[in-house]
This record gives sequence, structure tokens and C-alpha cells, in this order.
Amino acid sequence: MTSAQTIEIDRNSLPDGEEVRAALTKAASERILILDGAMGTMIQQLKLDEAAYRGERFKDWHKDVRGNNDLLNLTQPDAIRSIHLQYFLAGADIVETNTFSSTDVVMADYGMQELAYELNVAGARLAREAAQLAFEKDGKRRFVAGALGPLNKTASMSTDVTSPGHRSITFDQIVVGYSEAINGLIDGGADVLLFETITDTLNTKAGIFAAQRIFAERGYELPVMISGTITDLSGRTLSGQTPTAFWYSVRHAKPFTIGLNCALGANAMRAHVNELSDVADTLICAYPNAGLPNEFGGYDETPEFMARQLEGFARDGFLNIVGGCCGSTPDHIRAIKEAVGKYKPRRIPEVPTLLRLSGLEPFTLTEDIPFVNVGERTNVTGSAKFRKLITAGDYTAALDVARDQVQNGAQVIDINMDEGLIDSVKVMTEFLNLLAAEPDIARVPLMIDSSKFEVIEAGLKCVQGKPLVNSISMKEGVEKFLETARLVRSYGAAVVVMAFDEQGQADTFERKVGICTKAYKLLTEEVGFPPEDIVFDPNIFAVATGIEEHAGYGIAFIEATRKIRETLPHAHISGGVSNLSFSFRGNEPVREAMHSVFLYHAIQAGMDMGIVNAGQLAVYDTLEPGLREACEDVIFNRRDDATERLLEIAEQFKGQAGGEQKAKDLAWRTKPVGERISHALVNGITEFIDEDTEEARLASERPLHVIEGPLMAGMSVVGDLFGSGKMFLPQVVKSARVMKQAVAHLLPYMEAEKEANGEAAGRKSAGKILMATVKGDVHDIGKNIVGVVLSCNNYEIIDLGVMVPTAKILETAKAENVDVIGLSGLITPSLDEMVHVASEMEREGFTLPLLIGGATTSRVHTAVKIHPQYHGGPTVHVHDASRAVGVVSSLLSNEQRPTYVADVRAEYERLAEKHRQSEAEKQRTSLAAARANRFKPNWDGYVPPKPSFLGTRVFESYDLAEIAKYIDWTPFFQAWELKGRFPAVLDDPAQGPAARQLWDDAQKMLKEVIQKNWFRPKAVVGFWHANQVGDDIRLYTDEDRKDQLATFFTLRQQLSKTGGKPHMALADFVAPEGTPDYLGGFVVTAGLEENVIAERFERRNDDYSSILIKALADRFAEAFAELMHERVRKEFWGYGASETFAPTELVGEPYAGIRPAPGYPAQPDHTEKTTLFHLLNAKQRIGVELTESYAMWPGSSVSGIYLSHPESFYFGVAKVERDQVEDYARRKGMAIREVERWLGPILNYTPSSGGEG
Amino acid sequence: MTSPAPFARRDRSVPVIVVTDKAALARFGGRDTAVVKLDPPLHAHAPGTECIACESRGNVRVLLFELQEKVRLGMAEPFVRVVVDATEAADKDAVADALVPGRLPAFGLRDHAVARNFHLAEVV
Repeated sequence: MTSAQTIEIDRNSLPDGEEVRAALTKAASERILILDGAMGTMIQQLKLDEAAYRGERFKDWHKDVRGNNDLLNLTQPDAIRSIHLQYFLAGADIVETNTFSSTDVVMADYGMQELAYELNVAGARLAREAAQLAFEKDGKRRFVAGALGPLNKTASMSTDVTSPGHRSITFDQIVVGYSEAINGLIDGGADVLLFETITDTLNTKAGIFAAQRIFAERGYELPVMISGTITDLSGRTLSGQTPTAFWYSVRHAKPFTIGLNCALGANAMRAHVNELSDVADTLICAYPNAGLPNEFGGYDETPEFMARQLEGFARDGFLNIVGGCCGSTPDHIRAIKEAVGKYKPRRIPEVPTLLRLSGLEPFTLTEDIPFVNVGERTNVTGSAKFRKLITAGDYTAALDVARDQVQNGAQVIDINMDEGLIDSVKVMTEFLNLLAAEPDIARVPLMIDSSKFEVIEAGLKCVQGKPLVNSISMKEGVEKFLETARLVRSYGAAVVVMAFDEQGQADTFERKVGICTKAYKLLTEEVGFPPEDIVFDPNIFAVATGIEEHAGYGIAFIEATRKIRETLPHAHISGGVSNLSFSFRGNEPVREAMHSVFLYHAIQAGMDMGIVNAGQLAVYDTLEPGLREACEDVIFNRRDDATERLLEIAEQFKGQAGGEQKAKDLAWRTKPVGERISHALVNGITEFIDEDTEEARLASERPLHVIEGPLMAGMSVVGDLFGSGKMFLPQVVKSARVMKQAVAHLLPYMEAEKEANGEAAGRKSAGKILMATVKGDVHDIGKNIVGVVLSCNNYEIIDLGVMVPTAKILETAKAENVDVIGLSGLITPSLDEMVHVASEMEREGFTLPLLIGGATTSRVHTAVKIHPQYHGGPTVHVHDASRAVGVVSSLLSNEQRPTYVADVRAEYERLAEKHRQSEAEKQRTSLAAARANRFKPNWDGYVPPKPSFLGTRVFESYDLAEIAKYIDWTPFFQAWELKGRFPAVLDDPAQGPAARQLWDDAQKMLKEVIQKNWFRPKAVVGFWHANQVGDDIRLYTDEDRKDQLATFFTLRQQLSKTGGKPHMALADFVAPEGTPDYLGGFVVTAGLEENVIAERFERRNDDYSSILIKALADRFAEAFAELMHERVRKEFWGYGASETFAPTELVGEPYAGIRPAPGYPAQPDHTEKTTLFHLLNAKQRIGVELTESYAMWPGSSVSGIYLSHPESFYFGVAKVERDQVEDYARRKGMAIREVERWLGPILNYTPSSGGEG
Repeated sequence: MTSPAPFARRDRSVPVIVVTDKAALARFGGRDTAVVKLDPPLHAHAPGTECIACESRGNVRVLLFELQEKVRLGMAEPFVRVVVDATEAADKDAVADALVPGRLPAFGLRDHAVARNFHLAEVV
């Protein structure tokens, strides 16, 4: 046996890291640098046998070593040096050492763990020698990257799914292993360290930790390159992270490059490199495999082919360093160098200085997030329930607590195991290891919380993402603080710093600011901590304790917050709010009120993070005013008797449950009129608004002053609360209802005033906005909501309603001199109509901003299709109502508009370009090939079921209560921009109160709808003889199937398919001629009544109820369609009973058959509705008709065809090619141009203008 | 330490029917059923050393994870059961083994995700 040999190192001859970095940086600024290709592929070509691998030194080794390529550094050094030299001479600036597996962990497979250091030294020396030989040949400097490959064990997950908390290796063991390898590489003369083919980020974090410790010991640093591997087509690493989350996890290494290698070839890597290129403020390095392996395990991608793909990366500006991985050879490298040589290297983008954390997914604290609510229920000190679960060892239930928090929207979750009776280090480790195996929890970043640093450190060794540490401080002096801060930084975490020094916790404004300022300077100047990764906790202490010194604690925190945010750039403020009300334990209403008041002011001062139980937080403005004032007196220390007064008031609330305010609490009625109006607006109370408005009018000089005074003041509070995420859409719409009523009360007086003195009574609005649902479309819920939100923000809305022709929009815009035009639409033909409006605006020389919104609209469509049509003014896609105010105010502000418009333009041009490229790259199939690969169920022996009747049947006067049982409520909440699934949304900590209120209102209205029979739902259902003919479904008049009745034309998928998946068309689900088959069709409607009822509400200035009834009608139509489909399966077509699935096997309702609708993904052609409506005679029989864009009127209607085949399923046709469009037009007897118009959104080509194509 | 058995939640996990018999394949399908086809490997491997290229087309866990991701991203229809077409899989026994917790090691987080969200209902 031969074990490791002693090696002499001359440290003076090793590369100077700073000089290397400077040289590489300079070279990389001038051109795209070239990395080498595969080592393994080259070794394979040498066809070495076991004896060659062993050499003389290991000829008696006790295990087979063939395949241990790194061993060749010792046994075949000439061969390895020669491969390096070939790569250098082919054009590589950098080669990787042959040390991919040279760690003790991996070498243990061959029993060679003792050799790890020696292999690394030898590997680096061989590459160094080759670099010298190449330099002697052509005088060009070359570089050596010391390769650190992945390990065969992972720290971030278990290899056994039945034991997810188990780990086969620990962070500390990995640090030891990588340290040895890194020392070897440095001692062998590597210029750079390269962590590559990373499959587990936590392993690499341990490697980074090792490298930084070695750099600190040695007193110099080498540049570090980091290269991950995306193994899944869905774009994640093997340990589950997205590329951006991966980048945030390793960014603390300040790597010279970040990038990707290996995997499934250049094309599969492209999108992920693009993603990194957008987010990383360092160089990008990519070296994919030469495609996929062939049947012999070799790679077929030619040098030219691979070079062409990578040339695309260079052309699009993603690349700084490029090379090849498995399958690539010196010829590949030569071709790649040639191909990318003509392009400039990628420019490093400027990335805004923001706190960026990660779990499996990234989290960035942007300005759009006013306050990060840290989930606090997985904290044993904060939650009795969690403490019990942890002390009982019930980790499964404890994980459910974590999961609930994430599902309820926590952006970060706090984990604290500081309980005296448990071994906190052990429990923290176990819990985090288990949590790591739960993708639905691990996706968010963690806050690792403990008062003991050893517990924090144990936690940091378990997480692959970038967590927050809570907390460190100068409690034990500056030295200890610096030491812990450096450690936190080495683990790659952000940090909460508590305002605490050797004298104790800071309690005054001066001490808080003083300590935080000192800590900030130490962290940023001595540790090199990024300021955006620092969160200060200036200590929230209990107030109203009866002790005089405590009285100033509240205001001291708030003022310190303000000062810190002003003077310490990019730092954040956090705090644990529940401490504040410690003296009121047991009196929840008062505690909640204190928290709410405190947060309200602290957030305004700049507090942007906190540990708060959102579910138990009253809305500031709904607090009983007396209580609120008493809380404010205490928090701001405004009067000497503040505590006594709060104690007095608190008595009244004792014993009450916290949370919702008592409905009949009328204490606010005793306030001055201005405050009453504001209260009514914020709380959406209409009951007293007329009398209050009248009182205000009598006290004002002119009625207009009531609007411009108290009403606008109240609405601006509403706007602020909504803008900061403290109120939700349904609440805002209710506020608007109060406002409208008040204005309606004032209108007659304003008219009278105008008549009396001829003065204009108009009030000053922030801007005039025209809104319309475009021609052919009838849907307006979203548009109405946007209108209400804008009007709440003092914009004047001119709503032209639905089905508005372009000419009317443009005429009104001119006549009314509006400031903005907003278009809305739900169905796909409306997209075209919007393009038309945009081009007409251009033709008529408009310069107004054009806003685009509605369910089928998108940023990409706006960028690609609408924006290019209109150059006169900006076109902006508005994703939802909550964005509308921001967009409009930016567009109408003289200061913001130029930058905003330029930003949007640049963004849209980039999107359009990206879209163009991705479309060009998509491979499509010809129609003939797609047809050849059609879906072919086995028709032999299959007897299609026969419906119980043929022809049509009408269903009227249906029981509304019965239909209501089928309502799917999730889309209802989505319509109101409340995110999440029903019923979970009702318990959401943030949206919950708004959602519950909306739910109550909806149930109340639903009850009325049912009792008073407000809707008259109707349905018509039909069945016909049918057979598949090519891509179409032909209907016949009778069983002879000779006389044709009609034809449904269907479209076939043309996207490229893998794995033998068929190219689908709906016709495939119907039996071909010779086998008698049938087709069903239906139209259902909730009835015309919704519009009558909605108008009635609108006349009463009640937009809230108007939108509510429309949203309910929409749900009724969908529910009715679901109910009828069930009856079709069970009774009318009756095949439902013949399904062969054993119920025990299956979850959910295992019914067969589908009901696709024209205009939706499986048949995107809306014009097919004509055939359906004609067959069902829907207009005459149930009063549903089609608009010129094939929208259904009344809007709350659903139509579709029924298919019974047991294998039928929903699919998306996606894009179609010119050959299919021509064929389809011919079959349908429609002009090509006409077909192209209706299929506009799914055409995979640009139709020629004019002519017949 | 004692570990919980997170995959014990049958009620929330999706049944997977592995079909290895070509003739039986036609029986399965219909609404709410996702079909995943396992393609044979591109080339031979030593046992346990399958390369990612072959995994990406023939490893049932990889394909189930991708299916689930697609639904999450709105790129595929939701489903209540999965039929795995294993008629061309290289090692048909390994397909079922991959779906029985504890039989084959986990290599990536996706393997844990699949163990939590799917269970083997039947082999046909």
C-alpha cells in the first residue's frame, strides 16, 4: 500500500491573487474569455486500462481504480499535461485542473481519501506547467482554475425519503474536506478556485466557508468562480433552488464569476444563463455539455453546432467566459472561440442595493413591499402551541405550523428554539433538516432566531438559502461582535443587529441611534458587511408600566427608527411588537390596539420588517377613537396621565375577545364631523353619511368645500391604506360607495349654487380618465373595479361602459379633454380590437397615455402587439387595480413621467425582442407531420355511448339554491384581487378580515338572490350524430349519417413534442366514420337580470353591490354549467355509470369526458360559437346572443361542446403555422385573412398585410 | 432521531398507476388524468449511475416532479391521478420501486417532493 507522500511547497512562487484578479478583470473587460472543454472526454479517448490507471505506485492497490480520472495526475502526468496544453493551444485562456473528484469524501470510494491533498497539488502543478509551455510557445498568458467538483453526499437533504431529517454528511465535515482540497490547489499554484457542477448549494456554502477561512489564514485571496448545474427542465438545481435563489445564496463569496455548466446542453441552459445574467452583478461563465449523450454514452454535437448555439449567448450579451463541459474537445473550444470572438463581453448590470434573501426561491425587499411580516408562529418563545409540539417532539405537526404560515403569505419565517428544557442546538438542527425536505415551506427564506450564537450557528449550517440571523449585538463587547458578524457573513446570511452594548439594551433615542450607528460603521467598514443586509432592532420595550422611566420607550423607538433610516443608508428596521403591551397581558383588545397604533407610526418612520401576528392586529383606522387616542398618548408620551387614562379605558375592554370591532360600537359618533366622515369612509359605513355630509355642508361656506375638505381627506387616508397594503380591494370599493353617496347628497346644492351665481361648480380632480370595454366585449367587472379605485384617488372617471366602438372612444376623449384612455377586455378578439384602437389613436395624432387591462391582456401582448402601433404616447399594461393608481400618477406627474415612460418603453422593447427570439427558436411541426402523429385511441371494439335524446332541450326555472351548491368560490375572490384559494383565503393573516367581510356580504346577497329569485338561469343542451372527418367533427341529421347537419372545425397542435406525445385536436376524441358516435353542445346563462340589478345599484351610487352582483352572476353561470355537465354524464348521455375506475384507487371525482369552449385553449377559434349557437338556436330559446367579437350577451353565460370519450382531456392548441391556417380557411370556407384575424393571438407567423396570404 | 412520516398523508397525495402492459394502456385516461411516458435510456449505464440526460426522459420521479411544476406554473392542466406509461421503460420493476418510499435513495429535493405528493396506487 502506498499512502500520501510528503510534498515540498515553495510558497514564494505561488500566484498573487490580487494580481491574477486584476489581470483577469482587465482581459474580461476586453473580450469574452475562453475556458477549456471536457477532461473526461479526452481521457476516454486514451482508452487507458486498469494497469495504466494504477501505474507503478498503485500497482498493488486493494481496489479497482479504473475510472478514477484524478489519479492520473499521479500515474499518467504527461497525458494530463498534454490535454491541458491542447486546450490552451486551441484558444483556452483558462484550464480547469483535473481535480473534479479530489476530495476525501469522493476519493473514499477508491479508499484514497488520504491522497486528496496530493492529488490537488499535482493537478494544479500539471495545469501550471502546461500554461508555462503554452506561454513559451506564443507568449500569451494563461490561467489555471483549481476545480472543486460536487460531492457524492449532500448536506441539504436526506438520501432516504422515509427519513427526511437524516444527513449522510455535515457542514463541518464538508468544510474539512474542501479545506484540504483548496489548500492543495493553492499550494499547487492554481490562480483561481472554481466550484463547479454544483448540485447542492449548502455543500458549496461549506466550500465557500472553507475558502474564506483559508484566505484569512494565508492573508491573501484568490478569485473564486462558482458554477451551478440545472438538472431539471423546470429550471431548478438538484437541491431545489431556482437560478436566482442559488445566486443569492452564494453571492457573499463575492465570486469573480457565477454561471452554469454541464446538464442538458447549451439550448436547455440558455434561459437559466439569461436569468443569472439579468440578476448577477458579476461576470457570467457558462460551459454546457456538447448536447445529450448518444446510445454509446458519447456526444454527437459537432464543434460547429455547439459553437453556433453559444454564439447566440454571446450575441445576446449573456457571456463573459465560455467553454465546454462533457463531450467537448479542443476542436469544440477552437470553434467556440472563433464564434464568440466577434462579440463584446456582457456588461455587468447595475443591481439596485436591496435586501435579497432566498429559500428555494428568491425574495427581494423592494419598495413595493412596505413591510415584511415575519411569520412568528414557529417560535417557541412566541407561540405556546409550537412550544408544546416541539417539546413533545411532534415535528410533523410543528412543520404544519410552518407550512400554514407560508401558505398564508409569510414572506420570511422566524424559527426560534430557545426553550430552557430542550437542547436548542439539537432541535434547531433537526427541525431545519426536516424543513429542508418540505419544498412548500423551504421556498421562503428563514430567520434563524436565538439569543445563543451557538444555536444560530447550528441553524446556519443547515440552510442552503440566504437566511436572516436574529440577532447579534455588542452586548459582549466590540471584539465578540465583530467575530460573530464575520461568521454570519461567512455563512452568507443577512443579520439583525440588536441595539445592545456592554452597558445594556439601548432605551433612549440617543443610545439607540448611537449603538446602531457604531454597529453600522463596524459592520460596513471593518467586516465588509453589505449595508442592505443589515437590519437594526432598536428594541421595543413595554410602555404604560407605571414606571416613569418607561414612558418614553415608544417614541424613542419611533424617532430612532426615523433617524437610522435617514442616516444609515440601505439599513432596515425590525422589532418584536408584542413587547410593547406587556403590561396589558390578558386584555387582548387593548394589546391589539396598542400594536396597531405603534406599527402605524413606526412604519411611517421607516420600520420595514417585524415579527407580528397579523391575524391579531386591528386596523388602525377602525379602532375605537378614544382607545386609539389613549394609545397614542402613551406611545408618544404626550401627557403625564397617559398611562392612567389608558388603564381606565382598558377596563372597558377587559374580557372581550380581540379582533373585530363591535358592530354597534357607536362611540365614533361623538367625534367632530370631519373625523366622523373620515371614519365612515375608511370603514365603508353609509348609515350616517347623509346627515354627516349635511352637517359639514352647513358648516362650510360652499358645498364644494365639503368635497375638497373632509371627503377628500378621508379618501386620501383610504388611498394610503390601500397603497400600503393595509386595506384591500373590497374595502376600498365600499369606501367609494360612501363617497358617492356623500357627493350625491351635495350635488343639488352645487347645482343650485351654480344657477344662483353662474359659477362653475366643478371640483378640481387629479386627472380625467376615460375607461371603456372595447367593441364586441361585454365584460366589465375588472374595469369597474379599476374605475372605483382611481376615483377614490380623486381621478375623474368617464366610463363609457361595454361594447364601445373605437370612434366613440376617440371622440369622447377629445370632447372631454381627458388625460388618459384605459381599455379593458376579457375575450381574445378584444386583443385585436385594442390594437385597432391604438392604431387609430396613432392615425389621429393622439399623444395621451393608453392603458391596457383585462384578463386576456398581458405585458408581453402589450409590448409586442399594441405598443408598436402607437408612437404618439405611452402604452402601459396595468396588471391589476392595485397598480392602476401608481401607473396613472406616474403618467400624469410632470417630474416622473419622462423617466417612467422611458423605462416602460425600454422594458417593452426588451420584452418584444425576447419574445421574437423565443418564437424564432421554437420548433414547430408541419401540419402533415402533426396529423401523422395525431392522437389515436383504440377504436376497435370501442362502442361510443349514445345519448338518451338527440336534438335540443331547454332547461328553465332552475332552483337557484341547487345551482349555488356548485359554485367554485376561488375565482370570486380572485375577481376582487384577494389572492389564495377558498376557503384558506378567509384565514389569511393579511387579507383575512377583508375576505371574511366580502364573504359575509356575498352570502347575504346570495341569500337574497335565491329567496327573491333574482336570476333566471336558462340552459339549452343538444346532442347530435357525429363523426370525425380529418381534423373536423361532422354532424349528421340522422342515424344514416348521409345528410350533413353542420361541421365543427378543430385546430391541431403544431408545437414540437417529445416522448411520442401526440399532436392533439378535439376531433381526435370523436370516432371516425364507420363507428357511430355523438357530440353534445350547450349554452347556459345566469340570465339578463344581472344587468338590471347592477344598474339599480349603480343608480343608488352603490358600485360595491353592483360589482358584487355581477361577480355572483358570473359564478352562477359557471356553477350551472358544472351542474348541467354532471347531469349530462349521469342522465342525458348516461355514460357516467360505465366508467371502469375503482373508486378506491382514485382521489376526487373520476369522471370522463370534457366540455371545451370555443375561444379557449383547446379550440381558440371564437367563431366556432356561431355553429354551436345556430344548432342550439340559443338566441330564440334562451336569449343568449353573440356580439361581433363572439362574446356572449348576457355576459354571465357559458357555452361549449360535450365530448364523451374516456380518454378526452383539456389541452392547449398553442401556436399554429401558416400551413394549418390555409388548410383551416379552406375547410371552413373562410378567407385566410379572416381566419388570421380571429386566430391573431395564436399565429406563429406574421400575416402579410392585404391580399389573401 | 425519530423522523415523522410525511408521506403518510394519503388523502393529499396523488395516486399513480404504473402501466407496463401495452394492451392495458387504452383503459386509462380521461379527464383529470395526466399521462407520463417513460422513454428508454439513450445509452447503457452501470447500475445507479444513470446520467441526467437519460434521467430527464426516463426517470419516473424526474417526470412526476416536472409535471407538478408545470401545473404550478399554469403550463399544464391540474390532475387528480397519473398514469405512468412504463411500457418502454428499461427496468420496469425500478419504476414501481422509485415510487415506494425508502426503496431507492433520494438524489434530489424533487425525490422528496415526489414522495410527499404521489403514491403508487397500482401496477398494471
